[in-house]
Amino acid sequence: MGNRCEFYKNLNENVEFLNRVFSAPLNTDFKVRYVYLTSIKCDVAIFYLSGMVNFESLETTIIRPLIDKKAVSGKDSLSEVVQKEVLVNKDVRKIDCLDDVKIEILRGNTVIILDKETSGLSITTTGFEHRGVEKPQSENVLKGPMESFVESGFINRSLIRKQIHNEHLITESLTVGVKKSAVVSMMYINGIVSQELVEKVKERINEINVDCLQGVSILEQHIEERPYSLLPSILYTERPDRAAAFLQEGHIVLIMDNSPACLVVPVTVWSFFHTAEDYYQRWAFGNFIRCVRLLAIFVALLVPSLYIAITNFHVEMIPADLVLSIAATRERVPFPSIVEVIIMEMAFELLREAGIRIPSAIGPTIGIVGALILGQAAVEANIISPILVIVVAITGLASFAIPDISFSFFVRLLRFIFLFFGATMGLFGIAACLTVLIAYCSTAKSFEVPFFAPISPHYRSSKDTIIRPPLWKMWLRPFYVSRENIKRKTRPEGNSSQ
Amino acid sequence: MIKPTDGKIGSREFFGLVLILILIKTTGSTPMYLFKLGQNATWMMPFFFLLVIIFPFFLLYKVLNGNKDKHLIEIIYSLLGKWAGFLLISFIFLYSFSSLVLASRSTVDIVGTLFYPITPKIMIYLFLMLASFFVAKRGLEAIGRTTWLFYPALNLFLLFALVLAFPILHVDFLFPILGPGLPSLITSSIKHSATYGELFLLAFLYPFIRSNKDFRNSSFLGILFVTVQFSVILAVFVMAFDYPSIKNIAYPFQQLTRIIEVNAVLANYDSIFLAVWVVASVIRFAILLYITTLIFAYMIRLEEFEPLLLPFSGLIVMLGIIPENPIVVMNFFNTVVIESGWMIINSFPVLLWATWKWKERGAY
Repeated sequence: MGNRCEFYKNLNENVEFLNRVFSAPLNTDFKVRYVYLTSIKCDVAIFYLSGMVNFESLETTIIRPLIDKKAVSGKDSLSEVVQKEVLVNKDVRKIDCLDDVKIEILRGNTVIILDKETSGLSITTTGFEHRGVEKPQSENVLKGPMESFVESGFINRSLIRKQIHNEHLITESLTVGVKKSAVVSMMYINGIVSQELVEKVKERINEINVDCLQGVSILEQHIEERPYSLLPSILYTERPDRAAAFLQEGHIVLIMDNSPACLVVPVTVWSFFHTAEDYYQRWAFGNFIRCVRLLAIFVALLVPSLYIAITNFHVEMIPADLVLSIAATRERVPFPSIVEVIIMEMAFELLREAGIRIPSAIGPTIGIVGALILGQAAVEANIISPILVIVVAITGLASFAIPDISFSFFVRLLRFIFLFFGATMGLFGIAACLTVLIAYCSTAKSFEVPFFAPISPHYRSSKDTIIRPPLWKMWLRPFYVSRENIKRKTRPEGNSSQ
Repeated sequence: MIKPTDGKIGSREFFGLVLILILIKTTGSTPMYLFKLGQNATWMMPFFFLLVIIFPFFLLYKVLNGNKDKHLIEIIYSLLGKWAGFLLISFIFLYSFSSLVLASRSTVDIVGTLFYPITPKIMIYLFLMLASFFVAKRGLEAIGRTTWLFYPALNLFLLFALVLAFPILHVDFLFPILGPGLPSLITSSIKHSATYGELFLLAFLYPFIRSNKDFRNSSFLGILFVTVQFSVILAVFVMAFDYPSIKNIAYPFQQLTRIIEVNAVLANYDSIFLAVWVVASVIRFAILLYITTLIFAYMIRLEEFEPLLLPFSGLIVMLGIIPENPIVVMNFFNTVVIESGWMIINSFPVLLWATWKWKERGAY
């Protein structure tokens, strides 16, 4: 197809070139329309890809003014005259390189080229179809805003701007990859964010070397550190209010088209375990649900392995009556308990995966299959013991209480590792494995921020970690993010009861 | 500004290390040997240990503070010269290495005899050292942060054990208050002051601690905390088991966790304490492994010591598995290492300080 930067002098040659680039007769979506401008007596070609532009806007704000304008007074070059006097009610940008025309068209803009002019004009007419703003799918709250991001970068940014009215909130557009067709919007609040962090994120994004980048979930995998590790290092959230809260603490938010979510960097373990609701609920209630979730993480991670370890190695821990009843129910089960656990865990994972993939019309079936077949029938068939159903059910329940999907996967997968150590070495194995895990996580970093900051390593902070102080006491921004503007406000005097 | 991680640890991490490294000795066989000497006044011995070691440690701190840009081994070499320095460092290394080998073997013995009687010891040993190796391999930062993350939980469980032991304590078991008599108490305290020897080993981490102030505060405050807690734990032991019988209990801590109970149904929670104790042990051996390897590597003037961690872990398992039974290990540790270690750890700071001052005066 050839690359060419300079425009041809002749309009027809330009059209031919672009036709070639877009394989025009074959590609029916590529449209070229000609308009004769009576005002300046000149031929104009309009290029766009149908399906990417808003036709109504094209008609009313480009074609209609071009035709209707009767006379112009400017003495600049024709393109500039058109830009300043004809297309006044649209965002118009001059293009000097023919290759950029291609990129502009691919982004859904309309390009017009005038005869005998060596520059074009790009007009923003992007009009993709997208959903309306709906409720969040996975990060629900009972109290607080119910909006979630949609598959349009423009709307997502506006949802964030709706929350933060700050002149320092900056949106930088970064193009990605070889073809430069994907745009990542990087949002941050100048003065709060650390400049080194901004540079680092930009650098990571510039290093991406792909043809096309489909959305933030793909972007996440390109910019994360430790791609093989189970430990996530970037937060994926679908809530604009959470993104706004992170921005105000000095984090960076990345937004792309086609993704009903945004990425937040850098993050610590606390971000994976907090939810928006912790802050919307009153102090005691917010902390209560946090504690429940902390418990959920440990339950989801450890309960199957603890069950195995205790029943196999440390039977004396269970009260005698319970031991007898467990032993009685296991009497007719032929498998060792580790096999039972693995069978049940696999079954539960299957159920979970099937529950996501199943067409919603037959969705309720999964409940029946899960509850009846796995719960009751398997016990009655003496394949598993009833106590195990409780163990697996409570583990499953707990894993649903982990708010972040990446972190939930992290816990779900680690559970099997703990199961292995619990089955081989009992509580000794679990404790040793847990220590190694914590040591590993403590040195993991997300964009240079230690995973357990600000507890270990300890920094002065708002102490918003496992439990949070009352909102009016959280007057410090996280130290690990920014050294500029550390304080949100001055230290509160007295207490809030006044 | 993002603070780039500098590989150093802060005051809290170091404080946690001081506490874990020394307090964990109360959970091994050390109390049994101390009780043989101190009888029912053993709970006073930590205070005497403190009095004995505080002066040499202060001198060591002065030396470190005076030569901030060097680590301790460099200081020793530059002050004492090539041969005497090497001799001294190899003594310290021997002390550190032998206590690492013996203490790890002792831990394995406790786990093996009390909790996993049919598991081969070598498996437990391998497992323990593998976990410690992984933690040590992640670097000092990982050890420090892990320590600080677990520190509240470890303390909570310790408190829990002591509180649950309350119903079985008899305060009158503490009397006669001076046990074998003050003079004998003091002499045996001096001879066993190497119980606090890990504090001197931690001084080898001086360049890796964020600031001089962090080191000073954490080590002095840490050793004070250690002394009080050590003393309380020993007092609880003697109040729970009484004097003549306690000197025949090899592992009083495990024994204590075995007999405490909430009520008749919620009993036998020693395995939970096992788990918590294993966490502390892994951290303990990770940091000991780290320091021992560091001393060895710097002794023979290697720049990088991290590749040596794995061979050292293997060596420790191989050496540690040799003794036939726990009694040999305990005896060797408590009579040979501790009773000769006190001379090294108490004398070398004085020696260093004196040479340093002497050389300094010579320089002017």
